[in-house]
Amino acid sequence: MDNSYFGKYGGTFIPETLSFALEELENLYRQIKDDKSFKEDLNNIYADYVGRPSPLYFAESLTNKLGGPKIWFKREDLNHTGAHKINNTVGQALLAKKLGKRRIIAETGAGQHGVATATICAKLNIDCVIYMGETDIERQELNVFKIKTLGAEVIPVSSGTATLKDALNESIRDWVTNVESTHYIIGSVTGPHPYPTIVRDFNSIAGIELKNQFIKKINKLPDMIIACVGGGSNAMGVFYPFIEDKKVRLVGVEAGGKNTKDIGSASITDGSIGVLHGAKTKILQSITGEIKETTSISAGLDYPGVGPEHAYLADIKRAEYVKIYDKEALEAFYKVSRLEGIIPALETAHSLAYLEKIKDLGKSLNIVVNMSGRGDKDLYSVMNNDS
Amino acid sequence: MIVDIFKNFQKNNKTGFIPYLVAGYPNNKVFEETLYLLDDLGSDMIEIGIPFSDPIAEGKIIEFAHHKSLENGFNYQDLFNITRKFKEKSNTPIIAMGYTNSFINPSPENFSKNLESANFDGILVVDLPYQEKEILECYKNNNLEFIQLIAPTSKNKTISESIKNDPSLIYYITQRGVTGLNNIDFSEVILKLKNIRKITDTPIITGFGIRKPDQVRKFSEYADGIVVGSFLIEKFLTSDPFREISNSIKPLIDELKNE
Repeated sequence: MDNSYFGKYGGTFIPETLSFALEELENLYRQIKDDKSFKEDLNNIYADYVGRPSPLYFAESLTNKLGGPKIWFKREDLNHTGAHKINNTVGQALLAKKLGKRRIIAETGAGQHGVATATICAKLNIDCVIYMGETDIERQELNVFKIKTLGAEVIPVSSGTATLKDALNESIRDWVTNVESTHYIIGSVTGPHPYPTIVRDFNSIAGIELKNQFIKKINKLPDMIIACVGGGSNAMGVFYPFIEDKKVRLVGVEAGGKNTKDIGSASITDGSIGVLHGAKTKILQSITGEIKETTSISAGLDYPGVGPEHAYLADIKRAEYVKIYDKEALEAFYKVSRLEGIIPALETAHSLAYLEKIKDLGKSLNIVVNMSGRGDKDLYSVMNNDS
Repeated sequence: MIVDIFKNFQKNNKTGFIPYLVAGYPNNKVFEETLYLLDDLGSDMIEIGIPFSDPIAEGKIIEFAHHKSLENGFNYQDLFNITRKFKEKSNTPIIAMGYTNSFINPSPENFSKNLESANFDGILVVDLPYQEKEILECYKNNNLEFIQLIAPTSKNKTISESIKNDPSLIYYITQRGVTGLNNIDFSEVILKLKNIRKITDTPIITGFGIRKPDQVRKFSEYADGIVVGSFLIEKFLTSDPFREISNSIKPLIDELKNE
């Protein structure tokens, strides 16, 4: 039980029907994670299919423009399928194969996790079903078509707010029904134990590479790492290998939504302790525990909870969490596109916007932004936002 | 005590009838009247669902009821007034059934005290694992009995570990899936019920997808209580729910009382 918690956060708050599947998953993962042939399989896929290691890039123009610390990008946006999400799905799909599961389900909000899951399922010849809220299906038409092109089925979810949280509910319902044949690939460091640990570990490849790349390039560690936090998987992936390096500041950027008055999606900054989708963590809720409807310009950050390990890192003050509003993210989206020729995902644009707030820090400092995804998927909504 | 009522059923080869309602659904008035109606029809315990925005174990029918109740502005003051009044007139136990987040906000201490003072007899929390002993203890300390869920996929170890918490009842879920589905595998259920019996003498109630007298008859041989939820909740969508409930629920209760 103890290892299912990060401080007071985590646990396995799920219907009893699923408890054996989580136990099975944990046992297998424990056996396999240091297994030589599993690691070899995974590393081969990372190298030849995902395109790892992803580059570490010095953003010279942006650095000059801001006039402060040196800005570096960890280019997770160059991964196959365009975001960090694939790091987790390929790992979990290999686990599912070992578990003998013939069917994989996943939830998706913006569609990136859905695409990443459908992609590896196509490669490994596993049946794939993606749950997606009807509102998101409308907003992310292109990703829906991508998922279908890859041979997966998309099931629209109309209940509740018809967004990510409801797609998650529906995935859990499917899993409760088909638990013996099906593996559920949760898309973030959320959900019941052991998911937050497994998803973090598979995403840690980015942090491990980053450390090596920095030492190779400038023979020291970065002074600060910035990553956006919705559920928090890309952030956990780059933070984790640096947790013991106390001098490296870790900054998680949450989505503040439209303005200071309305509710955004900043679960750590604005939330309180509760249980959502299997984990005790910080969530946005009413005093009696009803989950609130969140907002954000970025679909990938639009979620009322956060990974339990982030809530823990915030409590022990190992990581800092800040809020960026829609407008600031949009400004950064354009700025970085024009200065660097890199169109970032709107999620990532939140991290980039935070650079404005720290430009007065010393020029000798090295700051890394985890470029969690590329902005192709967001062009449509940015276009509509502008008109 | 709930446990005494069902131990008694167990001893006398009887089976209790346990209907499920969602608090505040379809509205407070009809909800309240239905409580009395179900009591008059001969219910042995009544489960009251605490509406939640994300009820992951519920099928479409009950999920709709949860959301509708919240939309109507569900609040605990109304519910607690209704249950307090009900318990002044009836000895039938009432159970608060729901999801962990409702039971730990603003804190387990606070919510358990509220339930106790609103005359609830027990709790059933769908997504609270037996390992969360602190939360369970808090409810027990405030005189609320609790019900342990066991699923078709539960291991014997889970059954034997969970009964160490001393639940008043075991609720065996008849099928993999959400409430209201229609694919109960009888032979599996009976096998599993017999298996639980071997491990513990804690009374067992069962439910998920039960709608017909012949299902009730078959399960009553092995279970000490039968829960009916979705089949009842869907009657609120008809033009005369009270009559529909009487007509459809009475045959189920008769089946049990005529054993």
